[in-house]
Amino acid sequence: MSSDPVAPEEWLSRYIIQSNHFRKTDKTVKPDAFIPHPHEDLSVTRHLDLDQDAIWSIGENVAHRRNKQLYGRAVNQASSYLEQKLKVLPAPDLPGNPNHANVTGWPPDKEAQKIVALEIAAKSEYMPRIG
Amino acid sequence: MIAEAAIGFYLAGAPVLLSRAVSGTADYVAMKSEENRDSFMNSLVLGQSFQKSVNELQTVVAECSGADWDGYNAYPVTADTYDLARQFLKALPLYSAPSSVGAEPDGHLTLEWYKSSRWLLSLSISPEGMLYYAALLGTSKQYGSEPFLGNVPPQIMNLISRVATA
Repeated sequence: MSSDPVAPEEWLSRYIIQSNHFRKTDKTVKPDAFIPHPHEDLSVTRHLDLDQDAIWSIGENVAHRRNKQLYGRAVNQASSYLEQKLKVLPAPDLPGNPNHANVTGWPPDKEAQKIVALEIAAKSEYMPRIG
Repeated sequence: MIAEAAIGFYLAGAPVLLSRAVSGTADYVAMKSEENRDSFMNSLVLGQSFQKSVNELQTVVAECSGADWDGYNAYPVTADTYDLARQFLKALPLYSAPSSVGAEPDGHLTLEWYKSSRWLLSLSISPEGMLYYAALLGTSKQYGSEPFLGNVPPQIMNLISRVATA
């Protein structure tokens, strides 16, 4: 469980569990995956010292809990969020995910949320779930 | 010649007439205009991109029309939102169909015009008929909102063109 502050250079994953949240053509993430509304926060998982298998395992748990399929994950450094004047706060209290964090401080307007989501998606690397 | 002019009109993006007619004649003109446009949409060549977008839209709506469709309290995509998105697609010039469609957890449908991660336009259509747009245009960006009144707002049409020609 990590309650340590999130450093700008830390790597974070956002799990993709909707088939229309990534582009099949060039395997990139769509901004739709980063829209928090109706919630105030966006859930991400800190990599910290987890290996790839452990990061995927958390994603499988997330998808299973929601009765969804895990398609992949969007990987960003925390700086991608911080540059948009957002905050990344540790939230290790989520069952099964001690590396959970919340991205907070989103603008209230939908159009402003969208431009932030576009900027984050542009800096994101999509990693599809293989197998 | 009349047919060519009509095709030019539709390719330029004819407005979808949303029953604002106030007389029998106006009703008739609106009905014929809609019929003619549907005829072009249904033609094999001109209607392909429109039909592809509608098919994608229907797939997304099928996935996202139930409450909690993301397992995290997402709002359902309603029939009203689908109808508005379909009307918006019909109001587009036939050569400017979106690259893809999607949904957001607030129940909005999204249309995306995509060239690259820094040249794209994302448009959200709300159940109330608002259009929320955001675009990355290389090193610049634009975002805002407009009501959908049957026409593609000029600002949004301009962004579609800029992404398409980037």
